[in-house]
Amino acid sequence: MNPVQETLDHLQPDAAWQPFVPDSSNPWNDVKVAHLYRRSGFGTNWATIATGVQSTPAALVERIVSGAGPEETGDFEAEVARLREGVVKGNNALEAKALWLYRMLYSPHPLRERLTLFWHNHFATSNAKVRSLRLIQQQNETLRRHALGRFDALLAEMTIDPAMLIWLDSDTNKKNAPNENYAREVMELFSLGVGHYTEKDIQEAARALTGWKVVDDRATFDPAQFDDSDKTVFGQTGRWTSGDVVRQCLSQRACAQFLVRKLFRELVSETAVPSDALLEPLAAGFRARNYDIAWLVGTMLRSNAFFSAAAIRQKVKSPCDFLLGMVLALEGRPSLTQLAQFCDQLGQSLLYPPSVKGWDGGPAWINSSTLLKRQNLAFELTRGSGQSLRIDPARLPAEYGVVGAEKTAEFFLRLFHQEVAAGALMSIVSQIEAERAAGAAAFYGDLRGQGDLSSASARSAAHLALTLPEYQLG
Amino acid sequence: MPVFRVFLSIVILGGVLRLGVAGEPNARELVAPGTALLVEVNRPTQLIDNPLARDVWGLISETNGVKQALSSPEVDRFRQAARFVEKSLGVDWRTGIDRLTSGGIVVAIGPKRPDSEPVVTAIVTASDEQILKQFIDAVQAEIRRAANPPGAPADKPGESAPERKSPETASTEYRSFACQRVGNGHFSVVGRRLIVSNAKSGLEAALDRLAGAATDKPFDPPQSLRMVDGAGKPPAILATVNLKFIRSEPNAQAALTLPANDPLPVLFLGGYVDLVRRADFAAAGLFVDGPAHELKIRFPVGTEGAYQGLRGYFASETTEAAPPLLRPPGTIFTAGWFRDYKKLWDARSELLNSELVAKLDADNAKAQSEGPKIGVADVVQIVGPHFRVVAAQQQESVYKIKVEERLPAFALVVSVRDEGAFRQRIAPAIDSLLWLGLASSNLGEVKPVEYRGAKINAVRFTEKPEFANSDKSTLYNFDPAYTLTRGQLIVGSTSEIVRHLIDELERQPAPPSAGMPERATEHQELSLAGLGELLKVYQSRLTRAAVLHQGLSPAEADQEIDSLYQVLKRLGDLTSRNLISADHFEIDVRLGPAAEKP
Repeated sequence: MNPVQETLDHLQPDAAWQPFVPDSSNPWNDVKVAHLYRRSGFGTNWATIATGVQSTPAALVERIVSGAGPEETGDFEAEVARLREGVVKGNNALEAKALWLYRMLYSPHPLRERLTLFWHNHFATSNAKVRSLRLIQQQNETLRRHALGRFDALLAEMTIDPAMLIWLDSDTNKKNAPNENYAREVMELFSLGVGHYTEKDIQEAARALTGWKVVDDRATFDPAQFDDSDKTVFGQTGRWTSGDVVRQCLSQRACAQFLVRKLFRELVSETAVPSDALLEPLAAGFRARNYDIAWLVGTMLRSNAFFSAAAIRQKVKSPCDFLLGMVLALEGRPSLTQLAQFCDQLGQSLLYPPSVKGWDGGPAWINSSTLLKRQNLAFELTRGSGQSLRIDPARLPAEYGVVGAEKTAEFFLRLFHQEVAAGALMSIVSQIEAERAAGAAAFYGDLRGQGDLSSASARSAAHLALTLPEYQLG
Repeated sequence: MPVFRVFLSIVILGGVLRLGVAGEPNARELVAPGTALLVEVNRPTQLIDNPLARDVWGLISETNGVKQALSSPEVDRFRQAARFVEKSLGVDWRTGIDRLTSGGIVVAIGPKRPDSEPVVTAIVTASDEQILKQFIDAVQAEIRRAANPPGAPADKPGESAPERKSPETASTEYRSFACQRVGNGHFSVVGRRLIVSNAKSGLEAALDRLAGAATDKPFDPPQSLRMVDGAGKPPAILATVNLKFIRSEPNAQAALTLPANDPLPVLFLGGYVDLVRRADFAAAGLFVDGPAHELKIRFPVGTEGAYQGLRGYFASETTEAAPPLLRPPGTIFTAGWFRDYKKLWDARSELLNSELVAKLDADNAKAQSEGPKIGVADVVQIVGPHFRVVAAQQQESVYKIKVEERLPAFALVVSVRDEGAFRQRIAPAIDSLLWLGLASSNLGEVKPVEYRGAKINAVRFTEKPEFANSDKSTLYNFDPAYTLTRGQLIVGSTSEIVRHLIDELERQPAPPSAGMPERATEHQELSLAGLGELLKVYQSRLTRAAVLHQGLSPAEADQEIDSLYQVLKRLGDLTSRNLISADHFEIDVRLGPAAEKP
């Protein structure tokens, strides 16, 4: 059996979701802090990891879940609003993607952005069909507003979200010609999962969802197009409306299990498959708390399961995780439109998911082509010229007081991996030494009058540490 | 080629020419007559150390773009070269470069060769022999050190370190001058002068002249191209190009042939084509006067001997000239030029080949018989030779919908020879087209208004609320208008600029006649401060671009835009003017504090 699965299976449902309390056999360390920052955001830098180790798991998770104070958040949102207005007016998709990356990198509440991305993949809506950045941005704001709120409110808003109405043809769902697209997806993909509804439920729900259309970028209810007759959904009969369909989906027992499982895969592990029994305490709590997402996410992030071997490095990094993780760790400020293009090249075109099912994720992110691209992009971002000029890996060792080839290699291994494998260390050190020897005879070599590494060697060390296979796992 | 790199850095930095040492020939006298381009850096300290450069550097040195550029490997290499100069001379790099090049730098570039790079020869004159020797010794020591660095590992204990690959070096003598070769570079130090070339022949040709053994004359452009400023000082940089080499290029020959096979170069460059056809040399000199920089370009040929068909292209001392510049409120750019298209049309058979002339005549005849019955011949007859364009900030809008980014208004002002014919034949055609276009698109209407006795026909677009929050709101930057008044046709992007131009015409004198000092064929003025004001209009767009495309924080982006704004304000105006006289043609371009406007 897969050892990760075995570890997960050994976890008792009651204990698994209890807050993690470190002890000497299972200490609080940089591996766990970096893991927490990767899953609750998109990674972080060396100083933040070091500060996190000085804190406690409970305090750190609390800070991450609650985010920054209102003042800092307000300033950031005002900046974003200023940028967003121009992006929407200009109808520039690349800039819209870049603006979201800006949020992901610099938001004072990274967990909210992480979950906004999660909900974007859950309610996957592509601007390829919607063809209105204004509506897509509006939907994105709705996802963000409810990202850590209540799922019942989120589902209700998404059901009549203008971009969603266009995306799943609800704006053509009329009394005399019902369209079943949204009714099917709200059950299959958004709330229950396959096997928890019938075709009849879909047909009847579709009728309840009639009457909505988009007028002047707003969802508008047209009573003339609404089927006001009786419908039977999940065995209950009445003159149901769209709001009733949402309520009925949420009242199904399968709903909480479905969402908890999906969030488990996002936040905890995608390698091991949890049993229903393992997830049931979370599902029951989620249901009992009226689908309070913040409670569910906080519980997961604090838990023994989250800090277990079944979770750490048990996800393949998405393109966003991969690229933003590098940028945050290297404390750079690269071109965001360039980063957006890199994301596209690696298969994650933000605001343009491939289908209503979203991105498959997991091992599907990696193939021979994307792996090569990832290596090339790591080189691009660490080489210190062109678009990557504002990422300078050579600056970091000096800033953190690291001197010498071995220490530099160790620094970058710790920064990116939090572990220093002897083989990897040796390989990087010998590469640095070789480059240093080659550079020794250069005309300006000793004019620097410095004993430390040249910036090119430091960049090489960073690049080599990033190209280790383990870096693909988050 | 590290040595050559150092030399190149010096050549780029420049030096000061001081004609001082008795008996020492002028460096330009060492240049061969077959030189294609000669660059003389006479007063280089002025280039890197003048009030404007200091001011601008102070403003831009902290911007992201400059910081990025300063951290690039190329600048790093320059920094290393500067440190090398400091280390070898024991002074700061500015002083070092100044002393190494204080006698000036002359760079001669030979004509293009079919199978190799052109011969490039540089003559650098230091302040004294000792400083040059000190530097050359340091360079040679560095070459030796690079070839065999201390501590280089030996193959076996007890053996000396193996030779590393280094540039090939050799010492020779030519006409009793000691010469050195390093890789492909050849150099010789003669007194306080360093002569360096990428070809042995280049070095030897200069040494021949130094030894008085050359049989031909040195590079000898006309004396009129030796420019000086009002105080009799030469420019900081003077570049003289030998046009004979350009003319010998097959592509250039085709472009310079008259009558021409292509009408566009004749229409847009005709007079310049003629200058290049006739002049053997042209020169450009850069003068630095306090914060002002002036580039003067000279051709030693003028109206005498000009191609007959191109009379009417340039205003000369004996013809009418460009009209005075118009400066309505908020002017950003203003230009005026003289071009007598009627004369060019009349001389079409001298300017274009017979096939093109026949086609033009056929097209003209067809246009005169169809639709509004106006051909090119009619237009050039009605329209005069004076043209002006203006771009200015809009002051007020006629629309209720407010545009966030207000574009500058722009206008074209053309003199009209025959107002009656214009009103009778051209104006009705324009009006019909306007009415038809607006009626079919349902975009707006034409509103005629009276202003200072002129009838202005202005287009007013319909205000659509759905355009307000989209890029379509750009439409409300315009209410295009035209009028014919005071012998001028004014066509503007807004009715406001048309009104302001009528005010300007009211207060301006007629175009200068022959002999007036401000005469020019073309003159223009770009207010960089006005351009800076535009940055404020586009602030939010620029900030967004800087944040999303360059990765700056919003605060950094705002600071960057502000720096750029300050720089533009300090730069003043960019003006240019050209004029042809009997024996020369001149173009003067000036960047500096705004002059007093009439």
